Amino acid sequence: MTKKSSTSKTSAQAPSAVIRQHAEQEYAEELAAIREEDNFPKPENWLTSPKMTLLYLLGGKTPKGKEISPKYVGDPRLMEMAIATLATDRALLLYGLPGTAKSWVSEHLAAAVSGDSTLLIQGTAGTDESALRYSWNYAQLIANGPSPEALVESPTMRGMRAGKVVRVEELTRVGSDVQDALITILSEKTLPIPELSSEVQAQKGFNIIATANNRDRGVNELSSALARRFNTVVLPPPATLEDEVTIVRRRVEQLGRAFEYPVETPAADELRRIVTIFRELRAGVTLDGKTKIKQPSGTLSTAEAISVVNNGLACAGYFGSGKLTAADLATSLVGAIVKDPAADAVAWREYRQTIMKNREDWKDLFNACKEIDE
Amino acid sequence: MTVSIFGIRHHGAGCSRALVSALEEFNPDLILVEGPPEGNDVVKYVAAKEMRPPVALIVYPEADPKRAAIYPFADFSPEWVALRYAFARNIPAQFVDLPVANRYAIEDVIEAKNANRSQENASENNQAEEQVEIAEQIENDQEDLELVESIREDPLGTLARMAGETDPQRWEERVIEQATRPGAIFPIFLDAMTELRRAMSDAECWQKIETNNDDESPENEREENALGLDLVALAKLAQTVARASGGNVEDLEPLREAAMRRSLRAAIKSGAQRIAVVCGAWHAPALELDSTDPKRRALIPKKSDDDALLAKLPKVKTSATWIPWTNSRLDRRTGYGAGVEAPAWLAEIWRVSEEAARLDKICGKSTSERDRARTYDDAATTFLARAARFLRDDKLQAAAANVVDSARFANSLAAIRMRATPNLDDLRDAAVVVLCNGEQTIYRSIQQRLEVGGELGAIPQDAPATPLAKNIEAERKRLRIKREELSRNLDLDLREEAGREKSKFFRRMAFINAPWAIPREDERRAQGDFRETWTLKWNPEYDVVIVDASKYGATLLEAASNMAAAELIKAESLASVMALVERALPAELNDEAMALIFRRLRDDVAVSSDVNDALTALPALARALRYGSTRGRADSRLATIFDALFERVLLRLHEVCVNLTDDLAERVVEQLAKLVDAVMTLEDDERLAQLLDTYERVALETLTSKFIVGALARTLYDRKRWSDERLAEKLAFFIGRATPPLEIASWLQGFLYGAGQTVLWLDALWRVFDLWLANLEEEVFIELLPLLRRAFESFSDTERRALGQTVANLYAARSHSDVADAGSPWDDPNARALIPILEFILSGKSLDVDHKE
Repeated sequence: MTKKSSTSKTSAQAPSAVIRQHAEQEYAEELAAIREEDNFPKPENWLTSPKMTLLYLLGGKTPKGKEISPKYVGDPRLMEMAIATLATDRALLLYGLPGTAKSWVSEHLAAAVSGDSTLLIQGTAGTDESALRYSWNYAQLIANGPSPEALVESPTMRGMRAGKVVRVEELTRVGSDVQDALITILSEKTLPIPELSSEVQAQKGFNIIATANNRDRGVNELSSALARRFNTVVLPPPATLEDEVTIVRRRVEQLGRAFEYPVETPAADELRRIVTIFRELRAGVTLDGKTKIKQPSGTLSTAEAISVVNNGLACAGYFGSGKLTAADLATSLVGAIVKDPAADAVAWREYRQTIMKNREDWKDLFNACKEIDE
Repeated sequence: MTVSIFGIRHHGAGCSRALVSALEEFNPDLILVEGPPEGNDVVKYVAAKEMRPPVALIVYPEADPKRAAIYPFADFSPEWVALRYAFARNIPAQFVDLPVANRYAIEDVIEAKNANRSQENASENNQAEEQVEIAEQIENDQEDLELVESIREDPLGTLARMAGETDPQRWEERVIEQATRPGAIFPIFLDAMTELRRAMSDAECWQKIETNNDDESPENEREENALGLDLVALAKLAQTVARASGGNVEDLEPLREAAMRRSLRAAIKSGAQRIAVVCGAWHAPALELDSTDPKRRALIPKKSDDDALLAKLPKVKTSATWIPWTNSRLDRRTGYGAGVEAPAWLAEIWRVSEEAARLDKICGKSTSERDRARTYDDAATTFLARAARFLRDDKLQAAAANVVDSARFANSLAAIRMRATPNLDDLRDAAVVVLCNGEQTIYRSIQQRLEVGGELGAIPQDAPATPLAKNIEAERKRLRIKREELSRNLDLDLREEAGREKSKFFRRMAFINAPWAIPREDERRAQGDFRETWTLKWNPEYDVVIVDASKYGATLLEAASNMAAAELIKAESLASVMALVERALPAELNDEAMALIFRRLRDDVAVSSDVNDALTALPALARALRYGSTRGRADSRLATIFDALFERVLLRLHEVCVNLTDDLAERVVEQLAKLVDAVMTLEDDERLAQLLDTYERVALETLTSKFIVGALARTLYDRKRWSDERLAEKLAFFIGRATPPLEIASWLQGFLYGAGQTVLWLDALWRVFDLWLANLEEEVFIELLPLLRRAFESFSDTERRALGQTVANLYAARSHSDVADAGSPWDDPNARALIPILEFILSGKSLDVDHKE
């Protein structure tokens, strides 16, 4: 059960008791404003037209001038493709490295299109069919035999009945046999319930947004029959340094508000340093392309950069002086980079000694990081 | 008498469609098309049945055919469409422009002038900085002119880019789609071009507008016409042009337009009543001889001015003809680029719309807006279906259902992006997302085939040929080689002149990238050096390749030699230079090229100090030397280089033989074997002796890898440098020095590498080896077993049995031999017990385990 936050009319939402609100609540105002001015054609059961959904995701101004914050910073064509997919009744598979905003985009798409991002199935190795189709209230089942009352609906079923978007996270972690339960749902848009000799037919507006990352071991690749039913949109890591800094800054600000850190927001330069470190280690080469660097084994995604900064802020606020310093960032920075103590430590030390040491304005960060090792 | 000017975008498929409708409406009795007038000699071939685009018109100066000007045409090029329209209705059509003959002559003059300017500059003892400045100025002027030319080449594209459209092709299609009737776009283009030209020649006017840009006055709004011009960008452009035209650069454009006007005036005088002029949009305003707007008419030079400009122009003698061209080369013209993206896609749109128009005519309807949209749909679906087919060709999955889904997706995308029909971007995205599972790399692997296509044009047989093609054809006839597309084998005897000539011909063709014949490798040496076997197969693509090669020469010899010289510049290692030498020598390229190649080889040899390089290069050099001698043309330059490398190897061979793992050692051993073979083929006893000396020296060094030592020992034995006893002595020496068993096993492996029967009867050696084996401790022995097994791998069953026999007889023969084993007690029963083990190792026979301790 989610607690609704105290509604406020200003764009800086008043903090609620919940750690993180759903997209449709946090951005309720934006969505309301968009829907008010939405005169574009909408597919049936969509709350927002595709064109305005695009505006919601990419940010900009509504025709009447209201500012909409960007949710996705990157190539607009990817968002166009994602929305067009949903509009054509094809399922959407958001694919990419960890930390590239797949779940984020999935949540916001669901919020904009159906007004509800909670029809969520978390895929794990232990997910079984009942999560995707239905399960039973065994007491009822045994007592009174199979009946609609004994049925426990899955989010998929609820989405199909209501004509809403269903989200499946980490589809490739789900076992292949369970994944294939989606095939019939996607091609015939019905969920048969053999035990009751009935079925649930999807209302217009039903669709599935799945996310998958391609980096983990133990990934169950989609069977070709299932893959064929998805449109795959690959979300790449941020293309430029500036994009990534923007993303990090936005998110840090939002989270900072939510957590109410007693600290001022970090300067752009601090963020740029952290993001530079992440980008260089990720690519295995310095930003100017001249020096090659050993790459650590971790993914070093944008999401991790965000959490490094957040950690730093928390340290600074609660244990420090109220202003973000290098010492606050150092611990979580090293923690994010060195995931495998043997190989990564070497790579990190090399990077520190050869690259960080020689940068003029990085002395404080360098010293703080060095201290951690000693 | 009316003149209608149709300013088009080169290779614009949208313009072509509009042009057809416009021409039908206008019903001309004479069509003038922008193009080199030399083409008028061969324009009649346009109507030929065999003529099939993509083709190109080629105009070349007869004195220097390398310098050809190429004008490509595709099915959907407006100029081509206009020409075909004319021929279909028996209307006269001509090319109008400044003749290439004049253009090239003038360019020569300009180049000479620029060269003079730099020379004067240099000789005037100017300060170094000033010289650099002036040189930079010349370069900047040139660059400015190129920028201006690129604008003139594609002014509509420039406008499109200024309107924020990233792709001019799409913009063009959109503008044409939105026009009420297709023919209506040409007056719009004409107006736009007039404005653009006026702007670019009047920098001040635009500077004023630039400063007033913030005023959103109605006058400014009007200036930003339906095509969405960006005034600020235009102003910047204007400045660039002003700088370029005011500089010291000679601009050919006024001459070209004067020439076009002259042809137009002549056409008017000839009595034609309705003249259609199809030219690049940029030139349209310059040809409006009878404009009703006095302001515009004032901008056009008078007849007398034009005549004065064109009087007494220098010229060179030129010829023109048609050549087949390919889709992949459609964006290349000599001169300034008119880029065509995705020709296969454009060709598809054109084909579909032509088909639709044809059917409509049959049914007596006219193409409506909706029908036009439908043709786009057809083209889009075909595009996606072809994508699926290419994916399946590559053994990837692409279901038919997915093609349907991708087509719907493309439409959806187009709708979101505010387009009526999907364009190439939408189709690409749809293909990637639906057919390729989101992977850009998969799409890229089919992109070339899908968007560009491998289409090859065709020209009529009786069209005149380019000089290189003529030369090759003449050679072909002389050598009596048939042009067939089926494979055929051909045996050549190099002792006869005919054979030698054919061999040279094939090798030279290979140099110009038209490998008509490929040497057959299988029965190489067995037939001796004077036989060569080739497999012949003609590929129609070679016609285009020959055209490309025309840049390098007018005869096969010249072209091959110059291309070899170009390859030489790109060659990076000694090995690649050697490879080039091996190809160049039998092709007998011209002296210039050979001198360059030898000089490079000599320099590389002098500079490079790598022994490995030398080892790789020597066999190739030996082959080349031998080739020279069998054909009676020994080359002293080669011999010098060979000697230099040989010396290097002799001095430093041991460097590459130390500290090697077994697989690296194997490679070195192969090189050493090749080297000995190479020296043998040269039949030079002295060199062979020197080489063997070196081998011996290296074999005796302590640091040399034992694998190599073994192999060298074998070579020395094979070449009779070492006798049986000597061999056995060496092995005993090793063993005596307490060399680790692993190394001995390595030695044996090297020794037996490449097998051979001669070692089977080396009694002395086997005795030593046998003794050593017998004295090994058990664990060590077991450790060594796999290595020893491997050493004998290359022996066949018969050979193994023979060896086993030898071993069995080792001890029987012992009583007759005088070999005294160095102080090791001979224990007969133990010795006998060893025999089965040896047999097991050597012949793979299973072991009768009989534990007699």
